[in-house]
Amino acid sequence: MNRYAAFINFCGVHLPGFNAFINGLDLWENDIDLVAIYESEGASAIPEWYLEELRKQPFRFTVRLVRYEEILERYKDGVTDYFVNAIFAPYKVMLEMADEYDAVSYWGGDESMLGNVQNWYKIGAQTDLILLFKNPYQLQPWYDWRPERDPHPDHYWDMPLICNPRTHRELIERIFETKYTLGNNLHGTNRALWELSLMEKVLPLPDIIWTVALPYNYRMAMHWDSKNRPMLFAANDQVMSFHKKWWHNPVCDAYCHDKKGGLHIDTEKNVYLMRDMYDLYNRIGKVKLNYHRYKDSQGNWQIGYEHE
Amino acid sequence: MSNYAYIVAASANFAPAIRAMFASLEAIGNRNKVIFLSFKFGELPDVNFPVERIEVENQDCQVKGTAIERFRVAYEVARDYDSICLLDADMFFMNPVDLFFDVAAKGFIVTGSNGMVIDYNRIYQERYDLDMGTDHFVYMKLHTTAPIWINHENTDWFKALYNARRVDSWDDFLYLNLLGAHMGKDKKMICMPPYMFTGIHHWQMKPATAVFEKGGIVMTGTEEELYIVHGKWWDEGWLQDLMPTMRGYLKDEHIGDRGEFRVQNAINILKGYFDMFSNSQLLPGVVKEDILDPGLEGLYDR
Repeated sequence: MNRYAAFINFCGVHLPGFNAFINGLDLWENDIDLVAIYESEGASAIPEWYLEELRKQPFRFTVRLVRYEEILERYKDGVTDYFVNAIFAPYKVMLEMADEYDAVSYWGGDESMLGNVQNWYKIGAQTDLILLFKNPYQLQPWYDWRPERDPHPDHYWDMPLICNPRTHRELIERIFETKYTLGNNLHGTNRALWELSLMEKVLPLPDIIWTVALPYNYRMAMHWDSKNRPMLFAANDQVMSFHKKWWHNPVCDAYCHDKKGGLHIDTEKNVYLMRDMYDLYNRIGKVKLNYHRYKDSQGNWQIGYEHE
Repeated sequence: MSNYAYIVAASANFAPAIRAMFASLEAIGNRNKVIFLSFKFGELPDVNFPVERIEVENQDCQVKGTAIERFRVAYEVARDYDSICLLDADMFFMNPVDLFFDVAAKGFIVTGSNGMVIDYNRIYQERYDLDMGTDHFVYMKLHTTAPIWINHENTDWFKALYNARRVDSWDDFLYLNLLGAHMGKDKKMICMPPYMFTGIHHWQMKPATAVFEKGGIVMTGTEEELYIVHGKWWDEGWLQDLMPTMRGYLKDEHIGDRGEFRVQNAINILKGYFDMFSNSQLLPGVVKEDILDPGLEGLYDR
């Protein structure tokens, strides 16, 4: 058990993303436990062979597997929306384990881990700061609940929410409560921060090294470090993580199509570089996930796994 | 209440920069002390925050009297504060930075990336007499000399640097970096991107990360907070060299007229803020209209 934990929820669709994340977390020597909330039933269930792989690997951190359906059973609250239940489940688990960790965080299944991020968790543990990605679309009109109507620069993503779970128990609870009002944890996070007067306690994580949703319009480059770990650089700084299902061809194609022209001359290269990074981190870590891309009979791109 | 201080050193030729820095600190509502090392500096601007002035008298040249002496003062005064921030004289503020003081107060070090990665090979290590235990020490957190937020737990780094007195140039950031890594300071460090703090290597005007204004807010090209701007904006020679340098970059990168617009726009905004602060006119809000070159407006939202 470590003092820090990353909470992540994922289903079958996210397998290449989650696996790259856990391999990256391990390769970069992060002493951060992974609380993996997984779907075990239905079409999007995580296959048993994969869970077995996770259980038998000697990661440098503890992997705690939590069945998503169990959480739903424990918190029967009348909400039936699949997506809403899924995105809010980690907050409940976070609160349950709050006494076991000095810093927690919330990640999605389609994010990568490309560096040692432990210092950021230490900051979350030792200060009363909350570490969040900046939302680059911050200048959208403000919500009704916020008095000022002008654009305001403090608008954050819902992740990774690195913070001390005891110091910020009320924040996590308040975000969870927005499940019943807003049904959206992005808005819920911002609203909870605002209502608890915590906006000034947010340490914004730099977009360029925590590339959550930025336009990727600068040139990225790949290098290998002395331990043969693949690294990604943007504007010459090491990228710690990026977000999106880049392992899936239609996601890459659609993004490149939307962003053609103008400043986005490097977009296509960047997008496929990130796809390559997912592929690499699925092949070089402790859990090797061999997958291939193919077109089904309808001509749609699919991911196939060797275990199948 | 937290007890934070900035440390900055300047000589008389940096007077316009110090006016801009002090005015910008006023504009962001600063209440922290500024410890000012004066190397034959004249009168300081009147401000509402506390200023402690220290005259540097035993140094014979400007670099020693400013860039170097600030490290001595930093490690001597660090215990009196929860954390301190080392600045260059030609920096001014666009947003509050107290969060970084908060982080440093807990024993972390906050730096601004230099925008480079350097392989400190054996030649470097022998030059600086620092054995990193490997022939190729590739340093990922290469940072600029300022700003650095730090507290007394880590200012032994500055003391070691100051007392070394062995490097070719006293203001040698390569030695500062390698020494820090040798002392394990990188393990406690977070390094923020270059466009947020210093704009080194023109990162605040390169098209992808160039400063711009939207909805009345000045931000980086990645739509993040712009904290500090660095440069000799009052120096005509320095200023006139920006655009030719950037045109070379744009050509090399095959970036067209929209890129050139973003560069020019960023230069205009930054110069506009510098002038506004340096002239102590602390009323932002009309900057875009005031400082944009006529004819560029049409390109603005392309």
